[in-house]
Amino acid sequence: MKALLLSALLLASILVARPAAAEEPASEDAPSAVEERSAAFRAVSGPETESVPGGPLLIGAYLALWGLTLGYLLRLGKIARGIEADVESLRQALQKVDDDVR
Amino acid sequence: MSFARISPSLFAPAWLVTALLVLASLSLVFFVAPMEVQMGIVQKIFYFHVPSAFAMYVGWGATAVGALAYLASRNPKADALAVAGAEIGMLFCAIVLVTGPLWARKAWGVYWTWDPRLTTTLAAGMIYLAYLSLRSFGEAGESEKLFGAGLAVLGVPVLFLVHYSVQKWRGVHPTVITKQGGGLAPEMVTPFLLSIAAVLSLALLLLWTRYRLERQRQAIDAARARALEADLLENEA
Repeated sequence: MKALLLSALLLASILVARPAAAEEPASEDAPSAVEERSAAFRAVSGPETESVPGGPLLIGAYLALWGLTLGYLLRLGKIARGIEADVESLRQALQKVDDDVR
Repeated sequence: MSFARISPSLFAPAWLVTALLVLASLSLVFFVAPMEVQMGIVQKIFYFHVPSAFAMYVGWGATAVGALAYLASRNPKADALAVAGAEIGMLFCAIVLVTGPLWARKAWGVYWTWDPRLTTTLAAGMIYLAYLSLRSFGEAGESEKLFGAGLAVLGVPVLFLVHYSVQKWRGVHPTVITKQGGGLAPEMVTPFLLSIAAVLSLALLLLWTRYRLERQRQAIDAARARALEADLLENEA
């Protein structure tokens, strides 16, 4: 009888303890929401049924990347040509002064 | 184009190394790096999007250093560095703000959302756009240079906000690269590191080129001013 009572008590303690353990808050070592999200590239929003083709988006991104870079290189070229033109006009103006002095 | 005049001995090798890095990184990204499970091919935007953000920091970091040095010393070299850095930072900010939404369309279903990192990046871009606008109003006088330098320094806290916004506030922007080791598959690491090297090399080369051009422009402006003072030239204005 004593053994039966002890067994019942043990079973009851297990049944009570399990749900209690499940309700415990996450420990401090557990990853935060940010870390958990960052560990995987999971979609977080957007319609489930829509299938967005990745190819055109990828091509668009790389076109933008190299298009903007090329555009900036052209701008640098324009600045360089402007500097050359300024140097030439300054040189001609000073040459004219030099000729007038002579 | 006369870039070669800037520094003939180093210019061509620097461009060659950068071009090789870019080609190598592109080939690794498209032929070696595996496809990502959830997003598929669009994840390959990541390999140049993140390094472009690093290059943006480099450019605006150079602007901050140059602006602070100019405020302290009025040295024209510091001003040239600030202008060059602002342009390079703006270029890569534009790349980040274009490539990011294209990736987001697939990942989030929308091109744009007011996530902390996206919003702070846009805010930083507007600050440095204001700086460049101020500097592009004709020939910048001393007051424009000083005001611009102050504006550039004010942009520095926003750069820290951009970087730490993901950790401090909840948002949807991923932080794959973390101190804990990141969430990249091992096969993605080498292509990603090579892409960082390629983009940073390109950014530094562009920064150097723009800085040298700005220094040449400053030298011409100074020569013209001296010639005008000596009555060697007629004032065109």
